[in-house]
Amino acid sequence: MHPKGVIWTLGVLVSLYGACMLLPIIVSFYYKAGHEAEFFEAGFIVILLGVAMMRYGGHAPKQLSHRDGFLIVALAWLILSLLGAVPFWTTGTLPSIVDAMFESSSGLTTTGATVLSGLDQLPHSILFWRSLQEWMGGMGIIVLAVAVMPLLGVGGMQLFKAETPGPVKDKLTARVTETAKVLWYLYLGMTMICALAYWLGGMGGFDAINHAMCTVAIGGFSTHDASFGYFDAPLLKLMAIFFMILAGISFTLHFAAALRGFSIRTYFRDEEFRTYTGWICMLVVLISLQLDWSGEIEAIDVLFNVVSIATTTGFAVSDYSQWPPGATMLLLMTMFVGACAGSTGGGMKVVRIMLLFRQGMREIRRLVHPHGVIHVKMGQQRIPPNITEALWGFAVLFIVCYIIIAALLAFTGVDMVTAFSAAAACITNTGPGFGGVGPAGSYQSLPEMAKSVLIFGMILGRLEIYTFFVLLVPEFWRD
Amino acid sequence: MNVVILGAGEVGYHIASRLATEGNDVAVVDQDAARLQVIADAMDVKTVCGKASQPSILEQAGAGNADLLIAVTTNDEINMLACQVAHSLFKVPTKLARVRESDYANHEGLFGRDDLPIDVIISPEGEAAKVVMGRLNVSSALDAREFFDGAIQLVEFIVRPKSKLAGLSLMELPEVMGDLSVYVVAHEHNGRWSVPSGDTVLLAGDSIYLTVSHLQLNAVMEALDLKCQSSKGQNVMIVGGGHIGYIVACELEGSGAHVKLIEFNTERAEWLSDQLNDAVVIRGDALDQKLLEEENIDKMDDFLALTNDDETNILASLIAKRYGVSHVVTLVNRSIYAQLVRQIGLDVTVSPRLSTVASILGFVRKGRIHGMASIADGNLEVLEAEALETSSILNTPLKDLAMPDDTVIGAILRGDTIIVPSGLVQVQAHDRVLVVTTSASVAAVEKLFEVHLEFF
Repeated sequence: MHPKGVIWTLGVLVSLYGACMLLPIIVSFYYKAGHEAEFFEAGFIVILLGVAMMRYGGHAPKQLSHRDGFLIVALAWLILSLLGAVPFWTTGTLPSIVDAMFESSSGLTTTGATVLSGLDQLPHSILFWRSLQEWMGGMGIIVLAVAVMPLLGVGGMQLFKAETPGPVKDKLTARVTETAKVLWYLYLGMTMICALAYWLGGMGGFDAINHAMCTVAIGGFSTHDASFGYFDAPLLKLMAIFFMILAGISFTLHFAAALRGFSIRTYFRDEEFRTYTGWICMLVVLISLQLDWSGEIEAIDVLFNVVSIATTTGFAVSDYSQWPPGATMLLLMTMFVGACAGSTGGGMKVVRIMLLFRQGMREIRRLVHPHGVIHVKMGQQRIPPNITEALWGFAVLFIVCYIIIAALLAFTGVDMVTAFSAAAACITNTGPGFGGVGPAGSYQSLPEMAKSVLIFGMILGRLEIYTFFVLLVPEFWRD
Repeated sequence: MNVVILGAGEVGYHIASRLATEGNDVAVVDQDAARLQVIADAMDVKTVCGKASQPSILEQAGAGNADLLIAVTTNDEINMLACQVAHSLFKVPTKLARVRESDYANHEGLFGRDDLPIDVIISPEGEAAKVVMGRLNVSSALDAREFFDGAIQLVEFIVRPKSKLAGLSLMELPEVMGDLSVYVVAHEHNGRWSVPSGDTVLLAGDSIYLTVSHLQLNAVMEALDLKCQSSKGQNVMIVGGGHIGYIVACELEGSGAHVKLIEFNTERAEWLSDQLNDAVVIRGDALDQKLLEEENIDKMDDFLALTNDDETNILASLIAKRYGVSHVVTLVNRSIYAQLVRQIGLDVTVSPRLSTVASILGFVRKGRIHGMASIADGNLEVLEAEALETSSILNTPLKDLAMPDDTVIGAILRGDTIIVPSGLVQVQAHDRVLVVTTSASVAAVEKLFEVHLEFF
């Protein structure tokens, strides 16, 4: 391990993040929203810290081992989540440190759970900072760092492997910095198109940009208390549905399709995509069947809410926690399925669920054919046993973590529905849950202890368990 | 004609034997001196011992003035390289090579004058797989061949006691069949094959070969109370996942059959499992009774024994028969076994080497004979010939035609229409004619079509 190299790299990331904190100042000047000094103060503190870390680290590491990669990524998410709280604190928006940290990590992990209320009255700079955090967390700020800094090229693959979600890592191009750039170009392009679409659809400029950033990042922060429900136009809702589904698709697949002129066939040839879209369709049908349509439920709202939860975005246009128990149960389940691997979404990822299911089917087929040679396959590709074993480990750890977090929440005095749904919404990076933390409520009412546990849960979910837990094993620290 | 044959295996042996008896100068090259001695003792050919791809060895074999090179060693790469050497150094005009690996054969751009100079690629496994698939499609037939690119089927089956054919003479056949046109070209009674005439009577237990248009195949088989079903939904067990087994399994999978493929080699089984989608690959011994019972051998519709080992195939097929599998296809390479197996109750056999020999000879006889095959355990020959303007058989009603002994015209393809012959039909120029004859009369039939062995 190279401790100085790790600290230097973290210093780079912290400085970069501090520089991002200066961006809301521009928004602040434009909208005369105030808080310029506070944001400058926050950015200054963070950049100072980053530079100090870089100075301590000395120089760019020549080589990063894969352990360094894990350490940098895990620590980066922790540190950046905490430092993101500084503007909330300096501006006095959230005087409680735990609240500020909760809001910040919820943003960076693209969860979208909020402790803030009265969003419509908040200054534009604060709102923009929340959205910006989600947007940076969506594609991964570390991927961004790899993309913009050739210095990180050497160990970039280690960071890349540790950060990007999904069981199968693809390098899109020969060099990892190029891959990271391609991913960010796609991400940036999609965000701009989305913002343009929202703006043409009738949103104000500020709302369009903020919502576009949070849609494409599969985040779910809104600039209004009513979330996306603030906008009544069906066209806007349809656009949001489209972009949420789009952002829930693997960016590797987007890239492959882009090379072939965005052909639909490339998408449909991908098994994960077919399962993902099929799953959402099935969910919409199953939930629609259970709803009482005689009330004032609108079809587009149902579609919107289902897609929002299924992609783990967390926007809401109506209070789905009032739906019948069968429907809410399905929503809770689909949080765990999540979006496609390699997308900006959370959850366990569709491909993992598929492979786990196939692994299960394989065991059953092996009972029928004791001498059969049966492999788990994805497309035409055999999935080697080490990957399926890792998958089982992941699934077990994910569920165990979920249960432990839910139990810890209950210990702090949260009721059961809220505890289970808040734990699920945070570990899958969805955002709103049911009960007290439903789309109509907020996480504000939870005890501070519960919020701390959830901060941990969000980061755990975003890092897909392993990257975090690997730091807790003694072997990791031995040479 | 001067022919150089590389490889003295089963295929090389048979081709050398056929070409030598037809009066060609043949040289055979192989690394195995003992094997060459067997050939030298059996026929009048020159033998050269050495590595087939080496220029000096090829020169020794007389590649310098050879008209045709046939590379059928066991090694694909040596076959291809030998063709290249023969082309570059000796300017041999025509080169045939056996290439097993389908990955080579699938890339057509690889072969050509300026690339790998091979004129004809022969894939024995591909040929054998084709034959196996042909048998499966007409699963109640003992033998089934395709001619005229699949337009005509030659089908063999046994006349059952209750069949409406039993006791019928061939002259009465058209009345029974109604508007379905079939023609009986070969008849077996008490183990003796002959080309039937109009007053031959079909008795229960006889085997016959029929020519049928592929369009009427299903109707004919139905009329004769014989099953003819597609393999869709069938349960098929394949033993042996070599080249042939793999190709057949792929095709069956594509046609919607439930396939179980048993392979002994662990690595090969893993590979097969990767390549195949729905087929169940089972690693194990094909002669393991417990394994076969575990996989419900008694519920199988078809059983295909396609390993490289003749004995395993024969034994596995016998086991399958004992479990009551109705349709068993056995792959047999050695010609001696091919004749034996019928006597022990296995009726459908495929010999990849013989089908390779047939297709190579078919090419060698390029002239006016397009294809040739042995049927009826090698007792009869089928020729696919084209009638020329100069042919002596033109414009004479068939019944008046002076045909060699034991020879019959089984079908005529004129343009796209298939004519099942009657006595009044006349052969016209450019017709393609299916002739069934005995081995002894092949030369006479070739004369009939004015085929001179002028090659290129």
